[in-house]
Amino acid sequence: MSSLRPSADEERWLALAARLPSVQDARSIAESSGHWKTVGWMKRSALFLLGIVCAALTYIVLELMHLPAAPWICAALLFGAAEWLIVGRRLFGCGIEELLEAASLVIVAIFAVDFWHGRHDSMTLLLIAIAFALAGLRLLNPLFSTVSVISLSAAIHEFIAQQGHSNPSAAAWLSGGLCFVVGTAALAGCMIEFRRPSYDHMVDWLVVAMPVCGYLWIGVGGSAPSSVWLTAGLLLAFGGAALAVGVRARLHAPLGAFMLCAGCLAYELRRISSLSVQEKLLLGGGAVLLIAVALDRYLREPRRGITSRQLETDDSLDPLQLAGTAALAPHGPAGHAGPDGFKGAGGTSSGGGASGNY
Amino acid sequence: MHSLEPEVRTLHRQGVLDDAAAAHAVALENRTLFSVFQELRAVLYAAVAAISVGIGIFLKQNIDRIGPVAIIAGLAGAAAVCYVFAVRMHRRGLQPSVAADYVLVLGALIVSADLGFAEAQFHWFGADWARHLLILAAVHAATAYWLESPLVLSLSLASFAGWIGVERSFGNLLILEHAAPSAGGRALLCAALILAWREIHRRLNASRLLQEVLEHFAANLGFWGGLAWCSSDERRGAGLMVIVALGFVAIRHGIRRTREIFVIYGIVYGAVALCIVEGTLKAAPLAAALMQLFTVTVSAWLLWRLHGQARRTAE
Repeated sequence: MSSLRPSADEERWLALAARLPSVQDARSIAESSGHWKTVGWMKRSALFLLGIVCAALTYIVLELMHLPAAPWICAALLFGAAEWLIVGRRLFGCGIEELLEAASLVIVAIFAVDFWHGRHDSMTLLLIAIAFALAGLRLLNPLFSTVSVISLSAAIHEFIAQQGHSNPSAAAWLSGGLCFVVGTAALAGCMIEFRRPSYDHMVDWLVVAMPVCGYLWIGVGGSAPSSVWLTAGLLLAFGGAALAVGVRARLHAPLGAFMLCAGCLAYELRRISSLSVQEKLLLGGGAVLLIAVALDRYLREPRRGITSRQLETDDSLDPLQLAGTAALAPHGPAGHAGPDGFKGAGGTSSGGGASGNY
Repeated sequence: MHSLEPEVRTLHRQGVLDDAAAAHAVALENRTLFSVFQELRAVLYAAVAAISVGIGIFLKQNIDRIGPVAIIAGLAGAAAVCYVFAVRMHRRGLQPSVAADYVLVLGALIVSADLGFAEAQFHWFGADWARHLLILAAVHAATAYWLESPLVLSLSLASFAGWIGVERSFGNLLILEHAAPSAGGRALLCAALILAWREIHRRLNASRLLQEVLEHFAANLGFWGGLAWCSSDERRGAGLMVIVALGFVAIRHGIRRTREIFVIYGIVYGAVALCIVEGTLKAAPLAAALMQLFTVTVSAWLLWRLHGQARRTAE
């Protein structure tokens, strides 16, 4: 039994406890999980946010005290606190210890460059990528491992841009290409059976984030009109592969990647259509709605085990859904500033989030 | 991929899981049963958002070409199609369908756009134009209660908040120029009215699903109002008291009902309020930063402690 982090078996019991909240006999699960403690995603997010504020305030306090090596002291304090929470209090995936550890490593990465070389953006980004990779591996955190790859792609982009390359889109294509390569490798990794659930989550996050990140580099950075079809082809290939893997292996992450690729593809192809924005939104939204309704009805009864019904009783996403729906609702301006028509914050009329005057 | 099937079988052997629960859990673990519910929900939300934004732009750009009466009639027809679809699904007595829910939301959004457009064209309410938001709130609430739709109830409550004049953006509440006491007052008034609504709802033994929507809105609007007061010079003390009182109620409610989100509301909003107030000590920035650090650390500790308490309550 390791005190640095849960063993694979202990982590599996922790994952099971999270998946079966109705299991009343928490004691047997607690013993099997080596008394490591974890929290649900909502509390993890809240503790993560509090951790961000805590790390920032620690840094501000040390700066205000005018200590000679404030960043290094801050990094040491945050690292010590994080390791105490992990080793001493046996926290795993609780948000706050993860943020404190990552923040300490990132502070070291940022100030190491300043200390040795002065400002050098690509080196800073590379060190940040290494810091997040170390944090990701230490904590088995999928967010940090994904941010590490994104930072690496940004470091490559910055490095090539600094060389004054004759073709400015080359940097974007190289960074975007790296993202798609990592995404493809992660997609292949989806088919591997891992013992640790956290390895699975790391692969899942890469599968979902990499095609979007790759598209943002290529679609925004290397946006030559002639490259539309190439970009579309990349998205189509990745999205198609993700859909195939998702349906065959019955995994959520590849299906999410497919949906995001479809969204990016629709956005990319906006350039080759002569339809107006509202026509694209109405036709595209209508088509997607019809497909989703048909799929929902078709899968009401499980087809080869796949169903559109909610099988798990996890309702933790419901508040987000309510907030998202309320955001689409009509509203008036602050304090009903004036009677002359709608002039709300961000839009006019109650046209479902629309903007414009009548 | 990973499967926790061996662990589920162990729990079954130990008698922790009964046969039915174990069979269901095993089917989920080895993916012989797989739900695309969350994926469909995300796709439906994106589609409804795209259509409602598209309608808004369409209205703006085609008013001269098509004419207001034709537009109003067209939108009413489109909304009717959505409502009929959702009502038919409801009457068939099928298990709640995520697609029917979102089609109903689309219908409600189209009705909102239609009525807003008509009001902007014909000025039925004159200077009291915002009254149409109250009508929308009532119509959506009636639909939500009839078809037991939490999503449409959230539209109703958002329209209601719009009628009262609550700031839509949480950020705007805290920006100094917006942080007038009246902004916080309106949010608090709205929260109080929704709480009263929730109380009537509870006494009538109405849907638990809809009651939670009312609770979420009341909590968030109340905290927003308190934070807006904390940001204003005139009502800082009152704002802090409101946040403390609301925080206590939210945490107690969260622990009693094992609703983790209300515990989070209470602690996080409380920490933000205290940090805002401590941040006003501009003459002593180090002391202010130290107090804020203390507040955030204690909040994280409290969140952790209450997590344990909520779990014990659940057990």
